[in-house]
Amino acid sequence: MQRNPLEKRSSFRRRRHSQGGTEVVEFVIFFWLTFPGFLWMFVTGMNFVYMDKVNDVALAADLMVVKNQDMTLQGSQDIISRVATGLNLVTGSGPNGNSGGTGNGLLVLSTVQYIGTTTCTGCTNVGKYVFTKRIYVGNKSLQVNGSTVASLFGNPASALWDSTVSGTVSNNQTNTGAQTNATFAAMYSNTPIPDGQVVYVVESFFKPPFSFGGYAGSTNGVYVRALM
Amino acid sequence: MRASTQSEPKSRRHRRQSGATIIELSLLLFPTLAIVCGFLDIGMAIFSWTTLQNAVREGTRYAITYQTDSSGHQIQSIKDTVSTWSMNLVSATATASSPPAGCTAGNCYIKVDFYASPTTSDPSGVLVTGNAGQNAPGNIVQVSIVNYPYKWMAPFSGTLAGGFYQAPGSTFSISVDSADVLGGAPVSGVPTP
Repeated sequence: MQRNPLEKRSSFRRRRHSQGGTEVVEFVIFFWLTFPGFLWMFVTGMNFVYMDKVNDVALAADLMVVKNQDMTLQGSQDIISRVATGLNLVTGSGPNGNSGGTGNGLLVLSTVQYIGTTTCTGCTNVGKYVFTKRIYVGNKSLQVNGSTVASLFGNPASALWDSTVSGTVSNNQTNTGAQTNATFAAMYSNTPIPDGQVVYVVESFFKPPFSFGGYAGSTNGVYVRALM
Repeated sequence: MRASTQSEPKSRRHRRQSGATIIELSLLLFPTLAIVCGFLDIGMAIFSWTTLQNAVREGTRYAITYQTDSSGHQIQSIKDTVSTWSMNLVSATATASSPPAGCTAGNCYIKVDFYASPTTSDPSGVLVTGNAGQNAPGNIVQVSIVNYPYKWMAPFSGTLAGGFYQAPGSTFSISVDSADVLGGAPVSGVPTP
């Protein structure tokens, strides 16, 4: 039996009408799944690009340190600032970062030495890695993700560290306050640094380029380190 | 007879639906194209930036070894190296006052500067480009690409360039720098800058 075309049309209209709500639901589900995905891709991609640039800054700083450039001097820090064009690294002079606590980046320059028995017999720090120098370039009070950034390898005790002129760490062979934390030692557990030799470490922290209220990891900063 | 009674409402429905399809297409096409063009535009901008950044990095690595090419001059050799590594995005012969075609004065050129090594007595590390002994060992070489203009392909990428709307073909500048301490002089001596 043939159906009346008018009847067919009204059923089509009913179907269209009932499908209208489904489309909205589908769109909302699709949107809530894809939008965070796109945002995450954007945030992560931009952080990767940022990381490439920060990597350059860390390398440039470490190469200068290796070549015995005095990084407490304003001219040396200015060079790093120029290499970091676009990253808002505000430099100054001295070992304790810029005076205003401004800018979006911080470089932590450490010189670490392995104290063996040839370097010092019977010293407290024999068999340990110690800081011999620590210089901050940039914003020392930089906050990323709500907390102030800090070296992953620990800090020398403030009583031993010359924070005003040279950044050197005194009594580094005898005072336990000069030791690095276990993270540094663990990195060199397979091939330890020879007795008395030093490693020049530059750790760089930068605020992320975009911050969408912490959404999709957008407040996670960029951390890059260079060791030579 | 049967065929005609069935085909009539079908064609009407088809006509009615075709209008809706056009509206749907027009609603979808613009945002889809915007997203695709955005991907292309931002991707190309990032590609240009990383390429230029890598070029100045390679230029600096080249500079500290005191090598020279057929030009025989260190600064020109560094510029040639940077230009090659930038996939010729920037010209090796352009200067601030003589930019390549399509650039304005002060744009699109490779800059090589030398700074005196900062010391305790002179901590500023003064610019010594053009002075005698500018490329002496121990000085700092800085290689830069100044104001490379990236042209947006689509108008709706303009939000990243500073304003909500930027016309297609409007530009934003990319500047990149790299620096290092000049190494020891080669046996043949320090080349002519």
